[in-house]
Amino acid sequence: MTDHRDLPMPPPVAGRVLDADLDLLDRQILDPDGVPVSTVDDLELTDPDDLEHLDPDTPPVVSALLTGPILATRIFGGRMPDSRFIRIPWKVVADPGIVVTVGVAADSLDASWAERWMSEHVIGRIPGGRHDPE
Amino acid sequence: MIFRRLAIAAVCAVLAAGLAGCSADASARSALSQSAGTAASTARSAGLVLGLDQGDRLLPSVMDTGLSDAADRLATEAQAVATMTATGGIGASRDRILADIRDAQDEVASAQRVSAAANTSAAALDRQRRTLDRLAQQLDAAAKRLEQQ
Amino acid sequence: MKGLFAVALGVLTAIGGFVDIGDLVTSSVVGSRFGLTLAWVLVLGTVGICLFAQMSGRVAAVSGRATFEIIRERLGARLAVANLSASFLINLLTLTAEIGGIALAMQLASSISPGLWFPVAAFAVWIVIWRVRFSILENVTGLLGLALVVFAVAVFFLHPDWSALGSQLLQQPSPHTDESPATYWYYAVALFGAAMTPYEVFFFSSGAIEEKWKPKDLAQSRVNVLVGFPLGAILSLSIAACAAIVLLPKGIAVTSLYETALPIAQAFGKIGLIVAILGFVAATFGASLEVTLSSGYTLAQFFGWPWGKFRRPAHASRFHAAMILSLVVALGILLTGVDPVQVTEISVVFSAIALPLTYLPILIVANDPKYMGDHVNGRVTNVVGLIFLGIILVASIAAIPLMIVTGAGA
Repeated sequence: MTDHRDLPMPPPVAGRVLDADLDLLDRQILDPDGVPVSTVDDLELTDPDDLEHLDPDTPPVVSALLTGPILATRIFGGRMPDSRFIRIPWKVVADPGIVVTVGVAADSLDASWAERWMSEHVIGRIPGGRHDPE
Repeated sequence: MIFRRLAIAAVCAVLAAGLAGCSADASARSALSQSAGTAASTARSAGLVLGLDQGDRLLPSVMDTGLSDAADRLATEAQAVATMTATGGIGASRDRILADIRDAQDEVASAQRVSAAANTSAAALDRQRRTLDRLAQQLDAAAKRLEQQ
Repeated sequence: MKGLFAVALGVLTAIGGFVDIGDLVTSSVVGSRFGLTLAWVLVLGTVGICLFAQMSGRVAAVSGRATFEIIRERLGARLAVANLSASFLINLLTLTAEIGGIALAMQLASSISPGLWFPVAAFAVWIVIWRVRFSILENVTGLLGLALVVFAVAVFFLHPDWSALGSQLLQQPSPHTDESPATYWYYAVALFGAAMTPYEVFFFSSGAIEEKWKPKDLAQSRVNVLVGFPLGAILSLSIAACAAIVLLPKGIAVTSLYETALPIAQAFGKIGLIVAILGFVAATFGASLEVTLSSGYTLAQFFGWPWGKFRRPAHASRFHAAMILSLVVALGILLTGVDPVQVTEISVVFSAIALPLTYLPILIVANDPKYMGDHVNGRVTNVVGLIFLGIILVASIAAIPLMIVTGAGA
């Protein structure tokens, strides 16, 4: 879209420049104990007022990592209503590296709801489900 | 003019039908040959099971499995052959092959009965083995004849 | 001493674990119909699986991440979904075949009809995955699978015509075979698919993470693969040879599992049969465990769920739910009355068809310096890998036409 020489300078605050597609999308999200939360299925960006002429001083900002059913719309197209997004707010992201590490326990996030539900209501109810394997 | 066109179309139609009929014949022939070959292999397999049992080299469970599998396969082939339409002069072959397969089924069934009996008759099993081998040979020969036609 | 024991265990496990129902059935069918003229395919397939299993083990040990996670991240969601769908469906088909195989082997042991064994086998597979530790699961079934060595020994006890076997290996057609060239190549593709089954690779790389391998374990992994798998292939070759020696001259084409065991009966009688049946049960049971776990691994790694036998089931709930579902579906398919041997033959051919989709990502990932650091593929590995990719592509494209032309090898 824009000539490569016109890309904005990195923010004046100390930080890294990441490529959203290469470094964020489809990465595993782990919690501080190494427990997987999900993969990054999509990214939620803030909506600038004018989508046609983006203002380099107020660019769209990543507000959350998205996961869950949003993967279907990413692969096949379309858009879900915002209220149905499963979000991991950007502020809990501790370190976007080979894997994206978040700073809070997996169980405290909305994104791990399905895992907790399955654990409590299905797997946990089968005898032996809560024990370590021997 | 139009009569010539019609004549040509009619000849083409007859040729096409003839070719289609021929290939239907060919495929019916190869299907029959296939069934005969499979039945032959199954009969020999059952024969081998009986032979190994004669030499006391077989566990009873393996013999049971072998004979019942062979019975199932022969039944499948008998069903397939019986429902084949007898086009292109394979009717006589089909009937002979079906008779041989049915005989093989009878031999396997009586072998199962004999082996399940309290005192197994070695002579009876030997007879069945030899009959199965003979039937296998006949089925194989029939399969080859069909292939070569 | 402990190190030597670990190495021996790894190798022995790989040998016993290499053979599954696909190898058992395909090797014996091929031996009974083509003699040893298709042995070269087994050699080719073994080289291939060694290459790719090594690559995927290295990826897991060095990067700490399992292959499927990296596939999604490197290749993007769309391609990974295609890969996942194909792999998962083939896995399901293979699982159906393996559980069917357990039932057939149990029938040989007990005379009880396989239909009654299907639910028992599926339940047994589940309970072992549910409760037994990964290393025990691996080692026990792998070691018991060594019972199949009886086939290798039988080859000598059957007093074969060595020059005839030798000439078959070198391609001169046996006087007994009147199979068409198309059927020959169809079974070449099937045997290739049986040797290079995709689930092996996913299992191997996830297993590396289950056992917490680090780069220092790479040497061990290399020995396991390069010694264990070829020795396992020798077992498959022995099964084919036994069929070639006993069944081919009699014109018996294998279509049931009991026929695979008949040469052993001829060589060793009842004792040999007991050992062979033990080998069948161990091989199919072990393979069922591996395929079920593979199904769980691929789904969980794609979606980012917690996974692994090292976690208790309640901490990897969707992983276990996926495996339970796979077992239920496989059981359902078997209960419709399909012949497990026919399912096996179809599953190996479809494995061959899916091979490019499953192996290309591994080659790409093993070359990625971000995950692999200094341990990226060397040039030799890449050249061989690309050659294999070419072979895999040819086999995959040829599979369906050959299947149609030969009527699935009839």
